[in-house]
Amino acid sequence: MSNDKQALPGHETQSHEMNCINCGRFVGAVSKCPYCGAKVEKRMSLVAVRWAAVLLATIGLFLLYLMAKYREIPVVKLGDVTPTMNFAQIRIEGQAQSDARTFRNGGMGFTVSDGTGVIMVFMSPKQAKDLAASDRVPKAGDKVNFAGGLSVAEDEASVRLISTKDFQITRAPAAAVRLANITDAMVGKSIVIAGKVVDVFPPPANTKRPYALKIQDDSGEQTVNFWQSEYDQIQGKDVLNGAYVRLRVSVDTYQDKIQLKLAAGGDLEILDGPPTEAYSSPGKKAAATYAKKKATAATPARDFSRGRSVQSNSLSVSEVTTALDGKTVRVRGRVDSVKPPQEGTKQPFAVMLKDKDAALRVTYWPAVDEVIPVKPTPGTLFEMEGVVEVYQDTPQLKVKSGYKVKLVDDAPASAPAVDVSRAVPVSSITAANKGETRVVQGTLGVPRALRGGVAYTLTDDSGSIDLVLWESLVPTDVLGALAEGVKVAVSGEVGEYEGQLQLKADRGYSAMVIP
Amino acid sequence: MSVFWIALFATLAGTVIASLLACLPGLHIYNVMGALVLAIIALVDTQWAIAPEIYLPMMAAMIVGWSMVNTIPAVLLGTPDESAMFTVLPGQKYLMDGRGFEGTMITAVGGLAGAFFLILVVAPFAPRYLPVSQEVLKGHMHWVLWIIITFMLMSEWPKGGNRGPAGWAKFYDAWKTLLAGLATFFLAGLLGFIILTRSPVSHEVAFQNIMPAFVGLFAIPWCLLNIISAADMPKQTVTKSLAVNGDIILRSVWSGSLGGGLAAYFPIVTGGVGGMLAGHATAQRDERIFIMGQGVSKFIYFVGSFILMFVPGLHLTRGGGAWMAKTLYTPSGISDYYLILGSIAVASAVAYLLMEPLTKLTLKFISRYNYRHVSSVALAIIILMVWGITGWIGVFIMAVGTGIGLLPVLFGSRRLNCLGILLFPIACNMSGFGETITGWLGLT
Amino acid sequence: MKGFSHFMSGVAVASFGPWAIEAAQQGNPIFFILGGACGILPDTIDFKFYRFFYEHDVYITPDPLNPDPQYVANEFARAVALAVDEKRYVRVKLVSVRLGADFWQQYSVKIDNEKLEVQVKFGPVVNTGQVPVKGTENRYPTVATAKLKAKVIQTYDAALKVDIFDGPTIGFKPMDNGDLDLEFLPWHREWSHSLTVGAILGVLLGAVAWWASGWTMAWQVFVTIAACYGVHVVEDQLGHMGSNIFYPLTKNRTPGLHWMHSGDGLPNFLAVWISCLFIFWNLYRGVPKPTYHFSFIHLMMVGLVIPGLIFWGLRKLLTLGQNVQMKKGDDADDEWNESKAAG
Repeated sequence: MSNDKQALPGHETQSHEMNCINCGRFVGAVSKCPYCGAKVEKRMSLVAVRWAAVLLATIGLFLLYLMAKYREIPVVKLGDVTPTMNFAQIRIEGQAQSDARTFRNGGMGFTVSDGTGVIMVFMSPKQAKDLAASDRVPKAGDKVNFAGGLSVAEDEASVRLISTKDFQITRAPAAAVRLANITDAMVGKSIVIAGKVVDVFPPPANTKRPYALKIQDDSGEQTVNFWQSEYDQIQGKDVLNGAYVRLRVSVDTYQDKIQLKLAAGGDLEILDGPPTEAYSSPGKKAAATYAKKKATAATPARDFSRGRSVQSNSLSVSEVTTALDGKTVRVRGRVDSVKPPQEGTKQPFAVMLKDKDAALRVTYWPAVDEVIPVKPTPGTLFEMEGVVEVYQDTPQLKVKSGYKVKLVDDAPASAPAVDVSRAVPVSSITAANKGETRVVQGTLGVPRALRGGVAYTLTDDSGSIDLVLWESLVPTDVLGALAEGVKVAVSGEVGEYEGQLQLKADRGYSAMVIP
Repeated sequence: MSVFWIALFATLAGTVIASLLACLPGLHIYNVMGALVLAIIALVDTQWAIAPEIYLPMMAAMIVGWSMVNTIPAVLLGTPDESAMFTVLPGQKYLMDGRGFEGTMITAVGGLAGAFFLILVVAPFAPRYLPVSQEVLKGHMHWVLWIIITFMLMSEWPKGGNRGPAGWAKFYDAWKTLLAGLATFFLAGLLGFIILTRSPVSHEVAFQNIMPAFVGLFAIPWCLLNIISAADMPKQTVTKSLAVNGDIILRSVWSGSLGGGLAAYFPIVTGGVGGMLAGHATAQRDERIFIMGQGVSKFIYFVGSFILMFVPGLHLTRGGGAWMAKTLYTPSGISDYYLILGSIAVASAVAYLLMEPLTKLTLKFISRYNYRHVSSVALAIIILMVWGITGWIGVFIMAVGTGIGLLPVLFGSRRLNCLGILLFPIACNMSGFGETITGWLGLT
Repeated sequence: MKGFSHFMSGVAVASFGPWAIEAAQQGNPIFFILGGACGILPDTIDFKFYRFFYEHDVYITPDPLNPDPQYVANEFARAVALAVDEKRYVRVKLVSVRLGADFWQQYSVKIDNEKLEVQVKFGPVVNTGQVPVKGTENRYPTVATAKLKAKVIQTYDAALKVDIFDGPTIGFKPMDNGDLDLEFLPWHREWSHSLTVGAILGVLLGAVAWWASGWTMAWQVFVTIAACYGVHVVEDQLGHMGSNIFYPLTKNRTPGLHWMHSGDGLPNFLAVWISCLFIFWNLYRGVPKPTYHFSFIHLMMVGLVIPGLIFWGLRKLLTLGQNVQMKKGDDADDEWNESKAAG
C-alpha cells in the first residue's frame, strides 16, 4: 500500500501478495520486486496454475498435434451425412459424376458419388492448379479418394478439398472411338478420339461461347468444345490448326445433340503424324496389323457415310469380292435376315445384307451383338465394318466390334430422304424465294469449315449457290458423306448472307449423295 | 393458434430461458443452442417435430437474452486478483469500487440502446446497403483479417520496462508481456490449424468442433482464476439511478455499434476484436461510455450477426448461432426477416426488464455464497457439457485451450490474442497458403 | 494521432495502388499489410524499441510509499543545473508511481520562468483511464519548489503530468542565450518520423522484393512503404510536437501545425472513417462488373455527411442546455497518452 491513508477501491479485499514483503511496495503479478529486487512469493495454487498453463500450452498442444497428425480421417458414406457433421473432416471414396469444371475465380468443382449419395466438391484456385499440373483433374467416371471438410446446410451439402497431396485418382478407362461411332450411349463417359484438326474457332468477342475445334478422322468430323482456360493449357496451340491430335473428351449433350468437351488442355496431345489406332487387346492389334499388311493401294478410302438412302463411298454388297480376303472394309446394305445363334450352341449371329441382287453374309459373336446399340432387323439399311473372309469361294464379312454396326436408315428403301423429282435449277432460285424450301442437285465444290457447320459451293448446269449445312441440323453421318466432287441432292431453305443467296440444308437427312 | 402467438410465446420462452442461463458463469449460449439443434434434428420426421415458427424466434430470443444478461456474471462474478493478474477490466473496476450493480445496469442500457439502433436504424437500411458492401468486399475478406491480425499484434503495448536504466534488461522487461502475447497468438493459431484441418473430435459432432477449444481459451481460465483468487469482493451498493444521459448513450451507441457491426459483418472477427478496433477509432475517454459501449457492441455483434442471415438479398451466415440455424432452415423472403426483427424487439424489452431483478438476485446470491464456489460449480457444468457433447478428446482439447487461455492473463498480455485460433488459420486459408502451412506441419 | 488512425490511413494509402487491389483479388494481402504496418511503424519503432535503449542522465524516481514532491523538485533543478554548467543536452526521466493494477499516483511538474523555479505537486490517484479516484485529490497538498539555474523555455504548453504506465522523458537543450529549451519526449520522432527513413525502408524492402519477385514487385513495395510511412509523418505534423521530417538531413524536429491534439476524438475518428470510405471506394473501382453503381459523392453523402449531420443534430438535441466539457488531452501529454491508453 502506498500509505496508511484510506485504502484504494478494492484494495481492502486484495491479497497481501500484491505487495513486496520486503519493501511493502505494490508489485502486482510479477515475481521479483522492481524496487528492491526481492523475490515475491506467490501462493502454491497460483504457481501451480502458471506451470499448468505453460505445460498445457506447450506439451499439451504438442501431444494434441501428434494425435491429430496420426489420426486417420474416417471414411464416411455420403448417405450417412447428417447436419451435426457440419465442419467435419471426412474421407470420401467414390466416383466422379462429372468432369471437374473451372470457376471464374480459378477454383474448381465436381460432383462425386459413392453409391449412397452425391455431393459437390470444391477446390481453391491453388488446389485446382496443383491438380492440373499433376494431371489429376477428375473426369467423369474416374474413381477418387480424398479428404474434405464438410459444409452442411439445410438444403445442401458440399465438401471442400483439404489437400491435393492426399487426392488419389484412378482414371476410368477411356475407349478409343472413331468420330462416327460416337453415340448417345456414351453420354457421361470419357472417350479418346484422334484425327486431324480442320479448324479452331475462337469464341466471338464479348460472348460467353466456348472454343470450337473441328476434328476429322477417316470416319467423319466432330466438334470439340472447350473454354479459354483449357485453351491456355494446350501445349503447342500455335500449330494446332491442321495438326494431328489425340484427345480425351467427355461425351455430353447440348440441345439434344452430342457435344464433346475437352476438360483440360493437357488432355489434348499433338501428334507427329496421323494417329495409329488404339487397340483394346493384343488380338485386335494383331488382326489389324494383319489386315494392314494385306491391304492394297487400291483399297477404297474410308468415307463412312450413314445418310438415309445415301449410297456411300463405302462398299456396296456387290463390291465385296474374294479379292478383298483379309481386308477390313465397310459395307452398306439392307438387312434381309438376322439369324441369332441357337441356344446352347456357340454359333455366331448371321446377318444377310442385300443390295439389289447381291447378298453378303455377315457374322459376329454374341459379345459383339451386346454392344450394338440398334440391332439389325430385316428391312433396315445398315453399314457394317469387318474383315472379309472367304469361305467356300464366297466372301463373307466378319464383324469384330459392335460399334462398327451402325443403323443407316430404318425406313424402307422405297422412301429416299430427298425427292429428287422436285429438284430445280440453281439459277431459278432468286431473292424472292427467301424463306422457301427448294430441292437442288449438283456437284459439291471445296468445303469451307464454319463454326458449327460446313459450306460448299453447289454447282449444276445452270449456276452455283452456296450450300450451308449446320451440325446442329444435319446428322454427322450425312455430313461425313459429303466431299468435294460428290454429286448430291439437297433440300433446304433459301436464304441470303452478305448479299449472296444461299441454301440452308433442312434439319435431318436433307442431303443425299447421288451415284 | 396463429403464427403470431406461436412466435410470441417462443420468443418469450427463449428470452426467459436464456436470461436465466446467462446468469451462470462460463456458459455460452451457442453451447445451449447446439444442444437445441441436436434435439430439433432428432425430432425431425416425428410427431414432435418443431416448426421453424417456433425455433427461429426462440433462437433469436435466446441470443438476445444471453447477450444482454450475460453481463451479470461477467461483471459480478469475477473479482480481479491483483497478485495474479496484470490488468483489471473496466467492469471489474466498478465491482471493486462497490458499484457492480451500476456497472451491470449501465451495460444493460447499452444493450437496449443497441437493440434500438439495430431495429430502427440498421434493419431498414440493411437490405438496401449491405448487398452493395458485400459485392465490393466479397473477395477482400482475407486481407481484412490480415490487417486486423497485424494491428492486434502491433498495437499491444509493453507493460513492463518502466523502471531502471536503458539497455537490454529494460527492453526484455518490457517485451516479456509482448512475447507472451505473441506466444498466445501463435499457439492458439496452431491449435486452430489442428482443429480446422484434422480435428480429433468425432466427425459426428463436428458442428461443435471448435467449442472445446473456445471453452478452454476463455471460460475455463476465468473460472479457474476465480477459484484460486485471493481477493474478496467488496461490499456492493444498489443505486437507484445511473449517472448517464442521452449524450453518453449516443456516444456509446456510436462506438459500440461500430465495433459490434464490424464484428458481426466480417467473418471470424469477434465482439472483442470489434470492440478493440472501435475503441481505438472513437477514442472515448469516459469510462461510462466504455462500459455502455461494450454493452452495445456485444448486443450488436451477437444479434446482428444472426440477423444477417435473414436480410433479404444478402443471406450472409455469420456467427455460431447463424451457422447452427443454417443447418435447419434456409431463410427466404421478407417475412422471415420481419419475424426475426419482431422477436428481437420483444426479447430485448423482456431481457432488459429482467436485468434489474436478476442483478439484485445475483448480488444477494453472491453475498451469501462465495463466488469461488459458484465458479467451481460453473466449472463442473462446463466440463460436463464439453464431455457430454465431444467426449474425452474434447476435454483434452479444452485442457490445452485452457493452458493457452491462461497465458495472457497470467503473463500480462491481451486475451484477444487467443482469437488467433480462428484468425490465423482462416486468414491463411483465405489467402491460399493454409494448405502449405498444414503441409509443413504434416497435418495434410 | 492515435495508432489506429495512423494504421487505417496507411491501409487507405495502400489501397490507392491498383496493384494492391489486383493482388488482393488474387488472394495476396501483402500490400495492405505493408500499408497498415508502415502506417503505424514510426510509433512502433519509438515506443516499442528505441525508448528502452535511450539513456538518461537523471532518473527522478518518487517512492510509492512516501511520495516526496520536494525530492522531485530538487532533482529537476539538479538536472537543469547540470545542463547549464556542463553546457550539454541533459535527459531527464520522470518515473511513474504505480500503486495498484489499476492505480497510479499522479504528480505534476510546472515551470515558472518568472520566478525561475519549478513547482511540484502530487495530485490524486488515477486509474488507467486517467480518471481520479474519489477521495484522493488532497492526499498530498504540499507544493514543493526548487530554484532553477536558468529559464526553461517550452515551445508549447506542456503541463508535465506523470501518471499511467511509463513516465515521460524530457530533454534540456542549452540555448545560446543561456536558457534551456525543453524538449518533450526527445527520443520520440527524433529520427523515426522521417520521410527519408520511410524511403530508405522502402528501398531496403524493395530490394528484398526484387530478389524474390522481380522489378515490378520491387517498385510497388517501395511506393507502398514510402507512401504509407510518409502519411504517418504528415499526420503527426498536424499536431503540436512535429517531427524530424528529413532525418538525417535535418537535425531537429520541425514543430507541428497545431491544428489538433493527437488525442482528440473527432479528428481521430474522422481519419479512421474517411480512410475506410476511401478504401471502400478503391475496392469498388476494382470490381470488374459491378451490379451496383454509385459515385464518390454518393458514397460520401451516405457514408459520412448524412450520418454525421444526424449524429451532430442528435447530440445537439441531447445536450441542449447542458455545459458539456470534453476532456481535452494536454498537448504534450497527448503523444504519451495515446501510447498509454492503447495498452
